[in-house]
Amino acid sequence: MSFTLTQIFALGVGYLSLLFACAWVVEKNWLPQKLVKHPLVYVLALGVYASAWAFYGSFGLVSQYGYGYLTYYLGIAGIFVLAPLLLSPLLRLARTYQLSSLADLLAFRYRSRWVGMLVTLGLLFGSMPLLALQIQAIGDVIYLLTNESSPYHLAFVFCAVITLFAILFGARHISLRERHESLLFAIAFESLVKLVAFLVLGGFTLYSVFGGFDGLEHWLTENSDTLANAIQPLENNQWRTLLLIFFATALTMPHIFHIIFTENPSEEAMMQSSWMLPIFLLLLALPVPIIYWAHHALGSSLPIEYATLSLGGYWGLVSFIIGLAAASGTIIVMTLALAPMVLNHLVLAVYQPPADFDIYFWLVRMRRLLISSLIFIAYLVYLVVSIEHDLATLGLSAFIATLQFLPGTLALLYWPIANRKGLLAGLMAGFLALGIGLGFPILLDINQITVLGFTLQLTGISDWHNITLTATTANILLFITVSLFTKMSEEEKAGALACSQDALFFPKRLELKAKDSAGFIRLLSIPLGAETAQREVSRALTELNINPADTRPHMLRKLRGQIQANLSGLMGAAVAQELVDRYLPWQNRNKSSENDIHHVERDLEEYRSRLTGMARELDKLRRHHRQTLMYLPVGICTLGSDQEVLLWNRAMEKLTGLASDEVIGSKVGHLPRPWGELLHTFLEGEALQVHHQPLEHPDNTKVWLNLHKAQQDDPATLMGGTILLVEDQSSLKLLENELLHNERLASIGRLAAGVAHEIGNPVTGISSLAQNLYYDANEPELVQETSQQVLQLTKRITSIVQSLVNFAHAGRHSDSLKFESVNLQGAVEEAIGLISLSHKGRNRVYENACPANLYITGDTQRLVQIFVNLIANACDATVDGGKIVCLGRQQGQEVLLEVHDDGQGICPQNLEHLFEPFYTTKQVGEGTGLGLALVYSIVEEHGGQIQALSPSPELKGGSCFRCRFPLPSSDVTYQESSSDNEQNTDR
Amino acid sequence: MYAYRLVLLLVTLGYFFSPWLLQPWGSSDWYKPFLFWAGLIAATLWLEQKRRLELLE
Repeated sequence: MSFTLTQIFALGVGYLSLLFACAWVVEKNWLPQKLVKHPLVYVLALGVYASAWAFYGSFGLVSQYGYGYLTYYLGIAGIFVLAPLLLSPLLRLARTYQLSSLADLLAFRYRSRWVGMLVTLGLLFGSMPLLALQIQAIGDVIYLLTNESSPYHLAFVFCAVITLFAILFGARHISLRERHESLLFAIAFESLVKLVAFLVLGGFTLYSVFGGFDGLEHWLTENSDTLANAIQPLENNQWRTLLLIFFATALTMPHIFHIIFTENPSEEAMMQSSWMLPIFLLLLALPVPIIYWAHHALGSSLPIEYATLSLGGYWGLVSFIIGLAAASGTIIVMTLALAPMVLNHLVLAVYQPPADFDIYFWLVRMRRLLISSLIFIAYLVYLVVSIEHDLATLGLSAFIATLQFLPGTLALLYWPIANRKGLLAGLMAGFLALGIGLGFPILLDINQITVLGFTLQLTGISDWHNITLTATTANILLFITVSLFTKMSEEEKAGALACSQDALFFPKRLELKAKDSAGFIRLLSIPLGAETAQREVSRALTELNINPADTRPHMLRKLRGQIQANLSGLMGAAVAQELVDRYLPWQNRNKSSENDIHHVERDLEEYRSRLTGMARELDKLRRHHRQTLMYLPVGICTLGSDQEVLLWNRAMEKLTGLASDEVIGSKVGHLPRPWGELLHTFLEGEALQVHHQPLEHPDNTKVWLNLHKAQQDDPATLMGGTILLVEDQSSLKLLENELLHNERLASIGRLAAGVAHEIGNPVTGISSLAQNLYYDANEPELVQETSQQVLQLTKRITSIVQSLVNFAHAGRHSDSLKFESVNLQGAVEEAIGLISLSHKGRNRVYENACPANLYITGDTQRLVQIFVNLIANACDATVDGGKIVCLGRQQGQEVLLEVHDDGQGICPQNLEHLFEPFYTTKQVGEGTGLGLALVYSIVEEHGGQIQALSPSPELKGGSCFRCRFPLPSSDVTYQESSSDNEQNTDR
Repeated sequence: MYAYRLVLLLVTLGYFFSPWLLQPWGSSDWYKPFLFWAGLIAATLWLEQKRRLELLE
């Protein structure tokens, strides 16, 4: 049955309108999202692989090689079975770095614009035969169905409609990495149409021609010899080569790459496709031999490629729809994939729009122009070349050409030392061999060349196996050899590490010249214009959820990476790399810096599920150690050598109120007050520990901290820096203060009895003088003298009371210290005066041998407390008439104060415990055991040290307490507050 | 991850021994390559389930 051109045109346009409607309903959100985003839609869209070649060209393969046609399906099924090892890593890379094509991927890995250009050109030339094949298939089917001598015009009309569809639904988004759900759904619909129609056609053929499976078996038994003789079975190596060619297509053919990686909804969908796509392909492959045998059984005179038309009648229209669905899907996706590749790697390489252009509008417009141009060029190739060559030849040439990209792509994942020179050398060798072996005879009709006296016969596609092996072997050998014997640039090494599956990428913790997001906008405005720069920076900030005011180096590095990825999605990896390198440069690029630990940890977390054996156990250990650090009840903060915060554990979060996410990546000095200042000062100081460091929060609460630091320098891992340990001593300090306050009260209590006794004497004297006054009131001279004596006694009482009041006014220990210049002799004198008031202190001989001009810096009342306690202890240790000597002297940069006594001395075993709280050698009820602990604490607060010696070096026997205080500097500024941070460091 | 190694082994073996699939061309046991293919799909499905279980662990 023959059809008219109008009928075929109406059917074709009707089908394409259905395709438009399909995309339209998705665009309008008329279909449930559950259906649109279903993994099956993705799997069916992957069916774009089954182009017109699968429905027409594969019959050519069947006629030549029998089951050799299965390589077309098994090859790509094989790569999907290996999805976890090959496709998933590539998907992660494509997503992370916004790589939308094979050219982007290879240009990113090998850090070369030349690689991008060569790959684009190779794919362009490799894809053209396949595109032309699609148009040819439509043209030929129209010709066979209508018997019209010139189907070219109709083929052109279909090309125009397909161009319109591709522009409307495939080139709308600015970013190349944006998914086109409507397009994907339409392509999935096409695959469903192809599958159902082909299965129906196959089923009908089986039952109408053979009467079912039994009939087929019967027919095959009868004709087995004829069928076997009709083909030339593939040799084992030819089969394997074909399998390899089709295995590579998933990675190298632009349209397959586009659906697999750019339109992928999730990694899970890809993993499901590892078994769902092979089922789809199995169902598509099943009717092929049946239809082929039917073609033989019916004795059809049609070319074998169009065996689907053998049934005749309306089944021809079904065949046309299958072909149209396959061809349109392939043309649309192929041009959508090729257009941005050409734009990014060829057009933008030679021309970049000025900064005052609306770059988004320009890019979309250019992409649409390129889609139209590519389809038009494919149509021209169809007119010029395809007419002379069959579909199998064209398709096989295209697949062989793209095989040349397989070594570079596999090396991208699994061979980190591969470099751009090796890749370019290998590709050029491979393409040269293909150009001579296939290009000359097919495109230029040259069948013989003479080089250096040798004549080479060119047999074209009939010798495809040897040509493929020669080209691929030359490619691989040169790729390996050149890579092994040439060096990689630092940039290339970074690219290799970013892509490698066997190594983790260790980016450096470098600082950027731009110090904030405004700086990014300012610098990017130069190539992109202010508006585009603002938009791109804002977009990256939003995607990373970064506050525009955040100036942390870590966040700025992340921002730079995201901007590069987004620009890569917009203009391709090579241009993005160049723009970012040039306009967002690193500071001190050549300075050796440490690895970015955050990046390493993130990679390890992502890689975790793929670790096995020892690596998995080591990773568990790493996580355990990290958890230990994170949950340790002591604040831990690790810093890089540039003082960037690398780790901030939970205890630090609790202590500071600063969440890890807010702090990581900051310079320690930039942390909010008062932490930034405190930690920075401590880091800059020489002391490795600071004890009881007071810190006042903005809400006026006060804490006491012990700070420790340690340097870690590991040149092997390039992870030097500092570890800070922060202990909260507030509760301990408060408890200690409470105990010491109690001890002070006890001292006052002990002194009070002596004070009362001491006051008694002058009071008695005043009483006697008062009585004298009563009787001698008439003698003015005597009254005056008596009054003077009363006044003296009153002054003595006032002095005694004042001493006690002053001592008591030392107040609670937690009160602020008042550092001032204190005369040592005066302070010792005051202490002796107080002790002399007490019962035990009365019958002792005191000697204050401190020079009158000896000063130390400290709090007077605290220092008096020290001397009171030490002298009181000396009194306790001596008997009546015992001698207590207080010596003071300067020794180097220290002031020494020694309290000697000639008492009973201290046992050596007690010496080391003397300053421990509650340790006492006195009888129960006589001492609290806190006196010397209090002394120790106050001496420490004053930056000093105390030491107990027995026997005393000055007196015979007895003991000596030696306090060392730092010599006051001449420029000390005394403050009326707790700004004593620098003073209370252990020396 | 162990499952992936198994997949790799399976695909490599399949690659080297698959020319055997050519044999039944034109004979009454023409469906054998498709049975082999179906077996490969079943194995892949099983490995995929195993991978999912490993991820859940």
